[in-house]
Amino acid sequence: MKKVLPWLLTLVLLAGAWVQNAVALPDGSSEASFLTPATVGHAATARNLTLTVTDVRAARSITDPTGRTLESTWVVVDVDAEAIDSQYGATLGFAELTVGERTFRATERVQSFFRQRLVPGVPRSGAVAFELPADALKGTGTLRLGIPSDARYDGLVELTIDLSDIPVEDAITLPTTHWTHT
Amino acid sequence: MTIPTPLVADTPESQTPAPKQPGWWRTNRLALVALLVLVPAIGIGVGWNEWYSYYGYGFRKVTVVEVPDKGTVKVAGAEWGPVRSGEITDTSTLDMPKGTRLLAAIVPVKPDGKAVSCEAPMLVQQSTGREWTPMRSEVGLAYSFDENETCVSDLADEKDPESAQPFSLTVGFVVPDDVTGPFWLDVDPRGDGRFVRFSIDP
Repeated sequence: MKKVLPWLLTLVLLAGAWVQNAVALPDGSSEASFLTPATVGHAATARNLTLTVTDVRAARSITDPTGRTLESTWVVVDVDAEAIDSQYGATLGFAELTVGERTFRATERVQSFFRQRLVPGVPRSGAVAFELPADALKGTGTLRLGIPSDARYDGLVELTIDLSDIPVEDAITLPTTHWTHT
Repeated sequence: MTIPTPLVADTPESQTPAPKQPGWWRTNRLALVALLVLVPAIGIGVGWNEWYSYYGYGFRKVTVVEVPDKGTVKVAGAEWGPVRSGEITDTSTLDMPKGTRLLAAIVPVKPDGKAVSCEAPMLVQQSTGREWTPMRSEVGLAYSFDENETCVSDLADEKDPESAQPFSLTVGFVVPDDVTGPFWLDVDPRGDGRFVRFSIDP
Protein backbone atom coordinates (compact mmCIF):
# COMPACT_ATOMS: atom_id res chain seq x y z
CA MET A 1 0.00 0.00 0.00
CA LYS A 2 2.79 2.39 0.95
CA LYS A 3 4.38 1.99 -2.47
CA VAL A 4 1.15 2.48 -4.41
CA LEU A 5 -0.12 5.54 -2.54
CA PRO A 6 2.31 8.15 -4.00
CA TRP A 7 1.55 6.93 -7.50
CA LEU A 8 -2.19 7.09 -6.88
CA LEU A 9 -1.83 10.59 -5.47
CA THR A 10 0.23 11.62 -8.51
CA LEU A 11 -2.43 10.31 -10.84
CA VAL A 12 -5.20 12.10 -8.95
CA LEU A 13 -3.25 15.39 -9.01
CA LEU A 14 -2.45 15.06 -12.71
CA ALA A 15 -6.09 14.31 -13.52
CA GLY A 16 -7.15 17.29 -11.41
CA ALA A 17 -4.73 19.59 -13.22
CA TRP A 18 -5.97 18.33 -16.58
CA VAL A 19 -9.62 18.97 -15.64
CA GLN A 20 -8.83 22.44 -14.34
CA ASN A 21 -6.93 23.26 -17.51
CA ALA A 22 -9.77 21.95 -19.65
CA VAL A 23 -12.53 23.93 -17.95
CA ALA A 24 -10.54 27.18 -17.34
CA LEU A 25 -11.73 30.19 -19.32
CA PRO A 26 -9.21 31.87 -21.61
CA ASP A 27 -6.90 34.57 -20.27
CA GLY A 28 -8.60 37.92 -19.84
CA SER A 29 -12.04 36.40 -19.33
CA SER A 30 -12.38 37.98 -15.92
CA GLU A 31 -12.36 41.43 -17.52
CA ALA A 32 -14.37 40.55 -20.64
CA SER A 33 -17.30 42.77 -21.64
CA PHE A 34 -20.89 41.73 -20.99
CA LEU A 35 -22.38 41.34 -24.46
CA THR A 36 -26.06 41.82 -25.26
CA PRO A 37 -26.96 40.28 -28.62
CA ALA A 38 -29.11 42.47 -30.84
CA THR A 39 -30.62 42.54 -34.31
CA VAL A 40 -31.34 45.41 -36.68
CA GLY A 41 -34.51 47.26 -35.70
CA HIS A 42 -34.75 45.89 -32.16
CA ALA A 43 -33.70 47.71 -28.99
CA ALA A 44 -31.03 46.14 -26.80
CA THR A 45 -29.82 47.18 -23.36
CA ALA A 46 -26.32 47.08 -21.89
CA ARG A 47 -25.89 48.53 -18.38
CA ASN A 48 -26.49 52.29 -18.81
CA LEU A 49 -27.42 52.15 -22.50
CA THR A 50 -30.47 51.34 -24.59
CA LEU A 51 -29.65 51.22 -28.27
CA THR A 52 -31.34 50.31 -31.55
CA VAL A 53 -29.44 49.81 -34.77
CA THR A 54 -31.97 50.95 -37.35
CA ASP A 55 -29.97 50.29 -40.52
CA VAL A 56 -26.59 49.11 -41.78
CA ARG A 57 -25.44 50.52 -45.14
CA ALA A 58 -22.29 50.59 -47.23
CA ALA A 59 -20.93 53.19 -49.63
CA ARG A 60 -17.85 54.24 -51.60
CA SER A 61 -18.17 57.82 -50.42
CA ILE A 62 -19.68 59.54 -47.38
CA THR A 63 -20.48 63.18 -46.71
CA ASP A 64 -20.87 64.43 -43.14
CA PRO A 65 -23.21 67.24 -41.96
CA THR A 66 -20.42 69.80 -42.34
CA GLY A 67 -20.07 68.90 -46.02
CA ARG A 68 -16.83 66.96 -45.72
CA THR A 69 -16.70 64.15 -48.31
CA LEU A 70 -14.40 61.16 -48.00
CA GLU A 71 -13.91 58.43 -50.60
CA SER A 72 -13.09 54.96 -49.33
CA THR A 73 -14.99 51.82 -48.41
CA TRP A 74 -17.52 52.69 -45.72
CA VAL A 75 -19.95 50.83 -43.52
CA VAL A 76 -22.52 53.24 -42.09
CA VAL A 77 -24.54 52.20 -39.03
CA ASP A 78 -27.68 54.18 -38.16
CA VAL A 79 -28.37 54.22 -34.42
CA ASP A 80 -30.98 55.42 -31.91
CA ALA A 81 -29.51 55.53 -28.41
CA GLU A 82 -30.25 56.80 -24.92
CA ALA A 83 -28.71 56.45 -21.46
CA ILE A 84 -30.73 54.82 -18.69
CA ASP A 85 -29.57 55.89 -15.22
CA SER A 86 -26.82 58.44 -15.57
CA GLN A 87 -25.78 61.09 -18.02
CA TYR A 88 -22.43 61.46 -16.26
CA GLY A 89 -19.80 60.39 -18.81
CA ALA A 90 -22.47 58.87 -21.04
CA THR A 91 -21.45 59.08 -24.69
CA LEU A 92 -21.52 56.61 -27.54
CA GLY A 93 -17.85 56.05 -26.76
CA PHE A 94 -17.36 52.52 -28.08
CA ALA A 95 -17.97 51.48 -31.69
CA GLU A 96 -15.99 48.63 -33.22
CA LEU A 97 -16.53 46.39 -36.22
CA THR A 98 -14.66 43.09 -36.33
CA VAL A 99 -14.23 41.42 -39.71
CA GLY A 100 -12.29 38.17 -39.55
CA GLU A 101 -9.10 38.82 -37.61
CA ARG A 102 -9.28 42.57 -38.03
CA THR A 103 -11.11 45.08 -35.80
CA PHE A 104 -11.97 48.58 -37.00
CA ARG A 105 -13.01 51.50 -34.79
CA ALA A 106 -15.58 54.06 -35.92
CA THR A 107 -13.95 56.87 -37.86
CA GLU A 108 -13.22 60.22 -36.25
CA ARG A 109 -12.56 61.83 -39.62
CA VAL A 110 -16.17 62.91 -40.03
CA GLN A 111 -18.79 64.42 -37.73
CA SER A 112 -20.94 61.51 -36.55
CA PHE A 113 -22.76 60.04 -33.55
CA PHE A 114 -19.47 58.52 -32.33
CA ARG A 115 -18.58 60.00 -28.89
CA GLN A 116 -21.69 62.18 -28.83
CA ARG A 117 -23.59 62.60 -25.58
CA LEU A 118 -26.45 60.35 -24.49
CA VAL A 119 -29.31 61.48 -22.24
CA PRO A 120 -31.22 59.28 -19.75
CA GLY A 121 -34.72 58.68 -21.10
CA VAL A 122 -34.31 60.95 -24.13
CA PRO A 123 -33.15 59.09 -27.28
CA ARG A 124 -30.89 60.67 -29.90
CA SER A 125 -30.34 59.44 -33.44
CA GLY A 126 -27.34 59.52 -35.69
CA ALA A 127 -24.88 57.37 -37.58
CA VAL A 128 -21.39 56.02 -37.07
CA ALA A 129 -19.12 55.17 -39.99
CA PHE A 130 -16.39 52.54 -40.32
CA GLU A 131 -13.64 52.83 -42.92
CA LEU A 132 -12.62 49.42 -44.25
CA PRO A 133 -10.09 48.16 -46.77
CA ALA A 134 -11.73 47.57 -50.13
CA ASP A 135 -11.48 43.79 -49.76
CA ALA A 136 -13.12 43.64 -46.32
CA LEU A 137 -16.74 43.92 -47.45
CA LYS A 138 -17.43 40.22 -47.39
CA GLY A 139 -18.32 37.52 -44.93
CA THR A 140 -19.66 38.18 -41.48
CA GLY A 141 -18.87 41.19 -39.34
CA THR A 142 -19.40 41.68 -35.62
CA LEU A 143 -20.50 45.13 -34.57
CA ARG A 144 -20.08 46.19 -30.94
CA LEU A 145 -21.48 49.44 -29.57
CA GLY A 146 -21.47 50.87 -26.06
CA ILE A 147 -20.74 53.75 -23.72
CA PRO A 148 -17.25 53.09 -22.31
CA SER A 149 -14.17 53.84 -24.37
CA ASP A 150 -12.55 51.06 -22.30
CA ALA A 151 -15.07 48.22 -22.53
CA ARG A 152 -13.49 45.91 -19.96
CA TYR A 153 -15.97 44.80 -17.27
CA ASP A 154 -18.69 46.84 -19.00
CA GLY A 155 -21.72 46.14 -21.15
CA LEU A 156 -21.80 46.29 -24.94
CA VAL A 157 -24.47 45.65 -27.55
CA GLU A 158 -23.37 43.14 -30.18
CA LEU A 159 -24.76 42.62 -33.69
CA THR A 160 -23.72 40.14 -36.32
CA ILE A 161 -24.01 41.57 -39.81
CA ASP A 162 -23.59 39.88 -43.17
CA LEU A 163 -21.27 42.26 -45.01
CA SER A 164 -21.59 40.57 -48.40
CA ASP A 165 -25.35 41.09 -48.14
CA ILE A 166 -25.20 44.90 -47.92
CA PRO A 167 -25.67 46.69 -51.25
CA VAL A 168 -22.84 49.20 -51.78
CA GLU A 169 -24.20 52.66 -52.59
CA ASP A 170 -22.20 55.31 -54.44
CA ALA A 171 -22.61 57.96 -51.75
CA ILE A 172 -24.24 58.34 -48.35
CA THR A 173 -24.90 61.59 -46.53
CA LEU A 174 -24.47 61.09 -42.78
CA PRO A 175 -27.38 62.51 -40.77
CA THR A 176 -26.79 65.27 -38.21
CA THR A 177 -26.99 63.78 -34.72
CA HIS A 178 -30.39 64.91 -33.48
CA TRP A 179 -33.24 64.06 -31.08
CA THR A 180 -35.13 60.92 -32.13
CA HIS A 181 -38.50 62.53 -31.32
CA THR A 182 -38.78 66.15 -32.42
CA MET B 1 43.39 4.83 43.28
CA THR B 2 39.76 4.57 44.01
CA ILE B 3 36.94 6.06 42.03
CA PRO B 4 35.18 8.72 44.15
CA THR B 5 31.54 8.14 44.72
CA PRO B 6 29.24 10.75 43.20
CA LEU B 7 27.99 13.32 45.68
CA VAL B 8 24.38 12.83 44.59
CA ALA B 9 23.24 9.54 43.31
CA ASP B 10 21.54 9.41 39.90
CA THR B 11 17.83 9.15 40.51
CA PRO B 12 16.17 6.73 38.22
CA GLU B 13 13.40 8.39 36.15
CA SER B 14 10.85 5.93 37.31
CA GLN B 15 11.11 7.28 40.77
CA THR B 16 10.22 10.98 40.17
CA PRO B 17 7.06 12.04 38.23
CA ALA B 18 7.82 13.65 34.81
CA PRO B 19 7.28 17.45 34.87
CA LYS B 20 3.84 18.33 33.39
CA GLN B 21 4.15 19.45 29.73
CA PRO B 22 2.50 22.88 29.21
CA GLY B 23 -0.51 22.75 26.77
CA TRP B 24 -0.30 23.79 23.11
CA TRP B 25 -2.38 26.93 23.68
CA ARG B 26 -0.15 27.99 26.52
CA THR B 27 3.06 27.33 24.55
CA ASN B 28 1.80 29.44 21.61
CA ARG B 29 0.04 32.13 23.56
CA LEU B 30 2.27 34.91 22.31
CA ALA B 31 1.73 33.94 18.67
CA LEU B 32 -2.01 33.60 19.24
CA VAL B 33 -2.31 37.05 20.78
CA ALA B 34 -0.25 38.44 17.90
CA LEU B 35 -2.64 36.77 15.41
CA LEU B 36 -5.66 38.24 17.21
CA VAL B 37 -4.16 41.69 16.83
CA LEU B 38 -2.52 41.38 13.41
CA VAL B 39 -5.35 39.75 11.40
CA PRO B 40 -7.88 42.52 12.05
CA ALA B 41 -5.14 45.15 11.71
CA ILE B 42 -4.16 43.88 8.27
CA GLY B 43 -7.83 43.72 7.23
CA ILE B 44 -8.45 47.29 8.33
CA GLY B 45 -5.15 48.51 6.86
CA VAL B 46 -5.68 46.98 3.42
CA GLY B 47 -9.36 47.98 3.39
CA TRP B 48 -8.56 51.57 4.30
CA ASN B 49 -5.79 51.74 1.71
CA GLU B 50 -8.12 50.48 -1.05
CA TRP B 51 -10.91 52.80 0.03
CA TYR B 52 -8.63 55.81 0.18
CA SER B 53 -6.98 55.16 -3.19
CA TYR B 54 -10.47 55.33 -4.76
CA TYR B 55 -12.38 57.84 -2.63
CA GLY B 56 -9.55 59.81 -1.10
CA TYR B 57 -7.64 62.92 -2.16
CA GLY B 58 -10.92 64.88 -2.57
CA PHE B 59 -11.43 63.59 -6.11
CA ARG B 60 -14.84 62.04 -5.54
CA LYS B 61 -18.12 63.04 -3.99
CA VAL B 62 -18.06 61.34 -0.60
CA THR B 63 -19.64 63.50 2.10
CA VAL B 64 -22.87 65.32 1.40
CA VAL B 65 -23.40 68.84 2.75
CA GLU B 66 -27.12 69.54 2.47
CA VAL B 67 -28.14 73.14 2.09
CA PRO B 68 -31.17 74.31 4.08
CA ASP B 69 -34.16 75.51 2.06
CA LYS B 70 -33.41 78.96 0.53
CA GLY B 71 -30.16 78.93 2.50
CA THR B 72 -26.47 78.93 1.81
CA VAL B 73 -23.56 76.80 2.93
CA LYS B 74 -19.80 77.36 3.22
CA VAL B 75 -17.75 74.55 1.69
CA ALA B 76 -14.29 74.44 0.08
CA GLY B 77 -13.56 78.13 0.44
CA ALA B 78 -16.79 79.54 -0.96
CA GLU B 79 -20.39 80.27 -0.04
CA TRP B 80 -22.90 78.37 -2.20
CA GLY B 81 -26.54 79.36 -2.72
CA PRO B 82 -29.33 80.22 -2.33
CA VAL B 83 -30.38 78.18 -5.38
CA ARG B 84 -33.06 79.30 -7.82
CA SER B 85 -34.72 76.79 -10.12
CA GLY B 86 -37.63 76.48 -12.48
CA GLU B 87 -38.98 75.00 -15.67
CA ILE B 88 -38.43 76.93 -18.89
CA THR B 89 -41.82 76.71 -20.54
CA ASP B 90 -41.21 78.86 -23.60
CA THR B 91 -38.96 76.60 -25.65
CA SER B 92 -40.31 77.70 -29.03
CA THR B 93 -36.93 79.05 -30.12
CA LEU B 94 -35.10 75.95 -28.90
CA ASP B 95 -34.53 72.53 -30.44
CA MET B 96 -36.22 70.51 -27.71
CA PRO B 97 -37.08 66.82 -28.13
CA LYS B 98 -40.74 65.84 -27.87
CA GLY B 99 -41.99 64.70 -24.47
CA THR B 100 -39.34 66.46 -22.43
CA ARG B 101 -39.00 69.39 -20.04
CA LEU B 102 -36.19 71.92 -19.80
CA LEU B 103 -35.33 72.51 -16.14
CA ALA B 104 -32.99 75.33 -15.18
CA ALA B 105 -31.10 76.16 -12.02
CA ILE B 106 -28.89 79.03 -10.92
CA VAL B 107 -26.42 78.70 -8.03
CA PRO B 108 -24.67 81.88 -6.81
CA VAL B 109 -21.11 81.23 -5.65
CA LYS B 110 -19.17 83.65 -3.44
CA PRO B 111 -15.50 82.67 -3.08
CA ASP B 112 -13.88 83.62 0.27
CA GLY B 113 -10.85 85.03 -1.52
CA LYS B 114 -9.11 82.44 -3.65
CA ALA B 115 -10.91 81.13 -6.71
CA VAL B 116 -12.69 77.79 -6.34
CA SER B 117 -13.07 75.17 -9.05
CA CYS B 118 -15.96 72.76 -9.43
CA GLU B 119 -17.61 70.38 -11.82
CA ALA B 120 -20.88 71.28 -13.53
CA PRO B 121 -23.91 70.76 -11.26
CA MET B 122 -25.78 67.52 -11.68
CA LEU B 123 -29.53 66.97 -11.39
CA VAL B 124 -30.48 63.83 -9.43
CA GLN B 125 -34.04 62.53 -9.17
CA GLN B 126 -34.52 61.85 -5.46
CA SER B 127 -36.87 58.89 -5.90
CA THR B 128 -34.68 56.94 -8.35
CA GLY B 129 -31.15 58.39 -8.24
CA ARG B 130 -31.15 58.94 -12.04
CA GLU B 131 -28.68 61.68 -12.99
CA TRP B 132 -28.71 64.38 -15.65
CA THR B 133 -25.84 66.68 -16.59
CA PRO B 134 -26.28 70.13 -18.16
CA MET B 135 -27.14 70.48 -21.86
CA ARG B 136 -26.74 73.57 -23.92
CA SER B 137 -25.69 73.31 -27.56
CA GLU B 138 -27.77 70.13 -28.01
CA VAL B 139 -30.99 72.10 -27.49
CA GLY B 140 -29.83 75.05 -29.56
CA LEU B 141 -28.67 77.33 -26.74
CA ALA B 142 -25.61 79.23 -27.85
CA TYR B 143 -22.64 79.58 -25.53
CA SER B 144 -23.00 82.56 -23.24
CA PHE B 145 -20.14 84.25 -21.47
CA ASP B 146 -22.40 85.09 -18.50
CA GLU B 147 -23.92 81.65 -18.05
CA ASN B 148 -21.23 79.35 -16.70
CA GLU B 149 -21.77 75.65 -16.13
CA THR B 150 -18.56 75.22 -14.13
CA CYS B 151 -16.79 77.47 -11.63
CA VAL B 152 -14.96 80.54 -12.95
CA SER B 153 -11.88 82.14 -11.50
CA ASP B 154 -12.20 85.81 -12.45
CA LEU B 155 -10.24 88.10 -10.18
CA ALA B 156 -11.24 91.65 -9.20
CA ASP B 157 -7.55 92.58 -9.14
CA GLU B 158 -5.37 90.61 -11.52
CA LYS B 159 -2.34 90.95 -9.26
CA ASP B 160 -4.17 89.68 -6.18
CA PRO B 161 -5.00 85.96 -6.28
CA GLU B 162 -7.11 86.47 -3.16
CA SER B 163 -9.64 88.65 -4.99
CA ALA B 164 -11.87 86.06 -6.70
CA GLN B 165 -15.18 87.54 -7.80
CA PRO B 166 -18.64 86.14 -7.02
CA PHE B 167 -20.38 84.42 -9.95
CA SER B 168 -23.30 82.14 -10.69
CA LEU B 169 -23.54 78.65 -12.14
CA THR B 170 -26.35 78.56 -14.71
CA VAL B 171 -27.43 75.16 -15.98
CA GLY B 172 -30.26 73.59 -17.96
CA PHE B 173 -31.30 69.93 -17.99
CA VAL B 174 -33.40 68.01 -20.52
CA VAL B 175 -35.50 65.42 -18.69
CA PRO B 176 -38.39 63.25 -19.92
CA ASP B 177 -41.90 64.47 -19.04
CA ASP B 178 -42.55 61.51 -16.75
CA VAL B 179 -39.54 62.31 -14.57
CA THR B 180 -40.91 64.35 -11.69
CA GLY B 181 -39.30 65.99 -8.67
CA PRO B 182 -38.18 66.52 -6.07
CA PHE B 183 -34.60 66.60 -7.33
CA TRP B 184 -31.22 67.22 -5.83
CA LEU B 185 -28.84 69.62 -7.45
CA ASP B 186 -25.31 68.44 -6.59
CA VAL B 187 -22.29 70.72 -6.98
CA ASP B 188 -18.90 69.10 -6.45
CA PRO B 189 -16.02 71.48 -5.61
CA ARG B 190 -12.70 70.02 -6.74
CA GLY B 191 -10.13 68.95 -4.18
CA ASP B 192 -12.72 68.39 -1.47
CA GLY B 193 -14.43 65.10 -0.62
CA ARG B 194 -17.52 67.06 0.35
CA PHE B 195 -20.18 68.18 -2.12
CA VAL B 196 -23.02 70.67 -1.91
CA ARG B 197 -26.57 69.35 -2.27
CA PHE B 198 -29.59 71.57 -2.86
CA SER B 199 -33.11 70.17 -2.84
CA ILE B 200 -35.23 71.60 -5.68
CA ASP B 201 -38.60 70.85 -7.21
CA PRO B 202 -38.97 72.94 -10.34
